[in-house]
Amino acid sequence: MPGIGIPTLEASLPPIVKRNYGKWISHEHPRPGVIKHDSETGEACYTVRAAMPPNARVSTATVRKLCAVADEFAEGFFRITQRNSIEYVGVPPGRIDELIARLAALGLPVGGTNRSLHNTTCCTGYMHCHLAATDPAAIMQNVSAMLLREYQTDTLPAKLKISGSGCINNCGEGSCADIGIVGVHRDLPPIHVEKLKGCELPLVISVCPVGAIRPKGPGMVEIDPKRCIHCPACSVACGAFAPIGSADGDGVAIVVGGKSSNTGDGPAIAKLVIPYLPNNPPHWPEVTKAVKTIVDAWVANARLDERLGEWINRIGWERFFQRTGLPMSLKLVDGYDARALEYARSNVRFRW
Amino acid sequence: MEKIKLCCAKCGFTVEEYVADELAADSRKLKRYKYLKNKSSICPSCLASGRLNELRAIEEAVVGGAAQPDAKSSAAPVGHAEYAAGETPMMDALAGREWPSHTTELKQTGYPVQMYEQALQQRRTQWGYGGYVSLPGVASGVLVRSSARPDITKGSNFLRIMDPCGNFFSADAMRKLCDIADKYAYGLLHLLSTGGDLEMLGIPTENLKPAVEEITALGFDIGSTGDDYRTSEECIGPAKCDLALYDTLGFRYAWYRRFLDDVQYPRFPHKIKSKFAGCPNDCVRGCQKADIFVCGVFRDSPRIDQPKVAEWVEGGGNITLICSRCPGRALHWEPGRGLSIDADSCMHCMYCSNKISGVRPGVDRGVSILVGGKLRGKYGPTLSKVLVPFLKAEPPDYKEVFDCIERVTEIYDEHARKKERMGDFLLRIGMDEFYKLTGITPTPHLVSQPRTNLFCHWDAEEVRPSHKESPCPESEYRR
Amino acid sequence: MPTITLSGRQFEVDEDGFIQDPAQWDDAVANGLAAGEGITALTEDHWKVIRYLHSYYTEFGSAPMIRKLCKETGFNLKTIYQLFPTGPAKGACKLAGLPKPTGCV
Repeated sequence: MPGIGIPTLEASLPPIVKRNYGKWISHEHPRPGVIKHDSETGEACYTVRAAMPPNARVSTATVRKLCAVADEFAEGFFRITQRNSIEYVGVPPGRIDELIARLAALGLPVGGTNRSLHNTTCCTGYMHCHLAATDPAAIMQNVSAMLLREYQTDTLPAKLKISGSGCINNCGEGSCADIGIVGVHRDLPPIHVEKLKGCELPLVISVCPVGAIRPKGPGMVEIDPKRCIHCPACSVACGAFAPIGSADGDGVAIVVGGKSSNTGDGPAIAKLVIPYLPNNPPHWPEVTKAVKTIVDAWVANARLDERLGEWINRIGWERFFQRTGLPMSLKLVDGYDARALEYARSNVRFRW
Repeated sequence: MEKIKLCCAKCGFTVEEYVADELAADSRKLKRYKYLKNKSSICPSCLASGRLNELRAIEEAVVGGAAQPDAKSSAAPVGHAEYAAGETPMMDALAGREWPSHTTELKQTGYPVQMYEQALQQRRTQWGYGGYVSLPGVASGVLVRSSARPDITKGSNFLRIMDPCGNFFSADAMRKLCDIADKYAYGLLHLLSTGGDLEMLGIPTENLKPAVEEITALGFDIGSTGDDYRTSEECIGPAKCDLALYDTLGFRYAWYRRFLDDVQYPRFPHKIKSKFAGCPNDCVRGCQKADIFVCGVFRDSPRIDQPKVAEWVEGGGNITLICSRCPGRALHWEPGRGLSIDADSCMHCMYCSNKISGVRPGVDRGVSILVGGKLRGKYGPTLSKVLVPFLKAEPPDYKEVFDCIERVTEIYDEHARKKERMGDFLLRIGMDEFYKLTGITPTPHLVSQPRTNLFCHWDAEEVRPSHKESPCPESEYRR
Repeated sequence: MPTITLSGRQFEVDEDGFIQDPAQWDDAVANGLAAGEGITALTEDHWKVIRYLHSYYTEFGSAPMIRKLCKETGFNLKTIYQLFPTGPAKGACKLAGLPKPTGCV
């Protein structure tokens, strides 16, 4: 039963890591998908990184195959990175080609290091979530397949991270990434009157970020359609306001320029550039096209080591929309909170 | 009822769908159907042109709304094995490409594939709101997904297993987890959720207890659901990185020794996510996602190994690029004299250490504590805010850092409203008030700039001239 | 809507056994649902928590925060979890006739 805590470091770390723990002095990228770390003990550690299916959601049959590869090439250990790649650590340098071929046979491309497309991440979407307004797993399958070459080579201006979230709760971290694909609802939440009796109404009213849910007589509420911003806060808080969304109402928004590192221009949350694209399974052609447009404009115009958001910071938003050809719309202008005026411009240092 | 679908021959997208009986009765529909069937058209999904395929299938009427609760009187549930055999044109369109496919994986497991296939076809999730499972003795770690399609599946439970340090798994332990997943669940693993857990999916309620018992017997623990400390994520740190400024793995292990109860027994106003990054590169995205973000920092200048840097430059290292991209413009390279760093301009951002072999972070190392990052909360995304710019991280128990974090969460617990994330709480009460509550001494490191409005609040006792310790530094200027 | 019969009275419940109308709640509900939450017999301590939860909900229309629950009943968190092994937000609320706790987000 619970209460034992996480496994000890002793039990979870591979031998080469234990021998060199805290003793690493430098790293380099000998080829795409391979990272070399040098230790002060004189030992060198080669890591091979491969992509996983979207959402790192894998069958036990596949996991067993990955385990067998670990036994053969990496002393019986593997790790999952923050971006859902799989890493084999401590691969003998002479066997890297063999390992890459083995992973290719399992359908896993090797790459995602240095100045490349890093593995795409997403939330579970339609697979296992009641709030999803889109299916980021399927979108990521399409986007990643489209950008496979950028994953396997490292010839981009800087690293490129693409993430997808099924709704604006952002479990899939869309707003963290260089390009984020975030599901959006556009319908009003329903009110199932018969369920209101078993509902914590004060909580529902307080979680609404715009005060669109108002009491209307005892035990009854109404939703102001003019104020609702279609965030699923009430649908999360109470079943009487769920499910939100519809086939034609739901869709995808695209945000760009998120980044967490303190290098360059420092951490930033991604900004909205496309407010809505329709859901068009299974290939979401509108979304993949938009991603391609943004990536192409960045690759053609950015300087070396300039992440997408930093490129935009340098050239300005007017140039971004010009270079990508994306339309500007009123939906992109923040009118929501106290920062609304901050994002409107005060200087006239335009780029024409 | 029998349904007739016209689907794209290439990707399987359902262009139009008819009920067979209606088609026979309605001449206009029949005309449309014949027109579409005999004409070459462009698929709205994959944009391929050609004739559409016709699919005929017997489907049960879709039960509207959420799960029908009257389980006892309804027919026995349809096992998903039957549905696994059904057509899955959408899922097939997402498989067999060069990128690994999640649909191929789903099909190898007990996952009810029609839940996903139908969602793709109808462009709506088929899962339903809510659900509840009680497992005495397990206060957190079990989640429920109810189904809006009881004709396909009744819903499922899943377990959140806290991942080991560094997300390293031994093949032996992982195979045993697979055995448990095969025995009790769908046989489908979510190897790393964005919250840092391993999720085991599709466990029928009666299997939960034995599954939890076997998982804990294996040395893994569950938790991280509800309003508690969620699973903390750490970067790879000293295990495989030359840049780590503190021992993130050891820190996380110590965290679980101290705060395990708060991970497993929900008690806070809302969830608290914590992330530990070894350096300002922030590979765990703590600044964007974490309510409590502990980031490794250093205070002195980066250390330069001049011969090694020279060797790197000779080997083709683009030193001009690095100097020009240094955010503080602090780097200066002169052939023959080597690399120098202007300490006044250096932001300690790690860029030079990331890129140049021979430049390493300084030795006066510690951690910063930042609070309040989130991606939605109530008022949208916010980056986390600096609470403590520098603290020494002292192993093995990191007492000073943990005490500080505990103080923060106690204040949050005491003052925040129900379902109010840390970032929303800060917005409501104001950072000045929060610093006052936590007893933080203000330093310029806490702000990106001082305020531009003059709407300061002064308590009456601060204004009284007899007050001995004026918070205003005026007296110091007079001296 | 499914129903359950406790001490001869019928209650409307949802698919997970939460009673739908908190106004209908009485001691029979708590007694009847206790076994499902891993409680063999309701003691005076249990009742103290249940009655506090129910009266708070009747007054404010929402469940109290756990810190407040501990403060008002005088039990520490550990004791509450010992009394209600599925937790105050789940088991205790179910017994006290409060709505089902919210989802995972």
